[in-house]
Amino acid sequence: MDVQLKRGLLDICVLASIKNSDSYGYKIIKDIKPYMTISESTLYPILRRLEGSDMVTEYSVEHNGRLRKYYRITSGGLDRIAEFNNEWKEIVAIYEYVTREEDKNEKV
Amino acid sequence: MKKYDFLEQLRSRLSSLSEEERERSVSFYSEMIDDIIEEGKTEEEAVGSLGSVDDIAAKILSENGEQPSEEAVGTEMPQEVTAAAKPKYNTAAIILLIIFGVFFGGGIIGIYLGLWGALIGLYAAAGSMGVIGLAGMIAAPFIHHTMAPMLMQIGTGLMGIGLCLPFIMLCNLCAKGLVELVRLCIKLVKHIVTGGRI
Repeated sequence: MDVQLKRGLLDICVLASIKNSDSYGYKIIKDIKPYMTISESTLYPILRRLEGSDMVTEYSVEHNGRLRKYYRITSGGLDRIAEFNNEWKEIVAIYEYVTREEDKNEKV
Repeated sequence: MKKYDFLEQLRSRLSSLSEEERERSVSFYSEMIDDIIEEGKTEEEAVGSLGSVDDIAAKILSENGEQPSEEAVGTEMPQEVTAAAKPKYNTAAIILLIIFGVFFGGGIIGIYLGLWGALIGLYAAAGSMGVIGLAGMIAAPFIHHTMAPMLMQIGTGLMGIGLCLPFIMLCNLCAKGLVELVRLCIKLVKHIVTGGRI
């Protein structure tokens, strides 16, 4: 997949993984893995970037005698998911146009 | 690798970041390792599954070069990615190095060559001590016809040879040191120019 496209989609996946309940790093990776390749080293910069653009906030919770960082989505993050859903309709329309033109080509 | 070693290596590779940013990254990976261990993996397996420290550090550093903006999610221009992938050179450091080189480069090279000259002198001194000692020993029975001075000369000759060997060993150590010094300097310059990445 194109690097830029993948990067944008991963951001949305991370936002989606904390949309309904707050989550922590390792769980976010496990939740996204069935759909997209994501590693620890990919997740960290994404979370930092999302925090930087105020789409995610973090807080620490004690767990087994250590601190675990939880991530919570902000209204900005929710807006971003809604925006993505709208963008997706455009992308689907573009995809349909491209495949239609491909088909025409094959028939000629 | 153990968790502690992994985190220490990561910390040292992120030395160009602010302490806050560095510790934030380290604690993220520390938490990750703990979570993987809790899943039932061993410490080594957990650390191994994270990939190489170099890759992790490179990703963090390249991400830190760019400022997050309100458009940061998914809409960056492709150029930004290629810029982040390229090694970043510290232009100010390069200019300073060149200026430093122009003013002091000759002097430093002179001093360095001087040190080698001195060392060659020491080698010669040690070598000649050995040669004179040996020659003295061999010549002793032919020069002296009485026992006492002859023995004394043989003794002095032995001493010369005895002193020559540790001297040469010492010189070898110094030579190694001088070579190592150049290696360190090159490493240092590289470190300064690439802004912390060796």
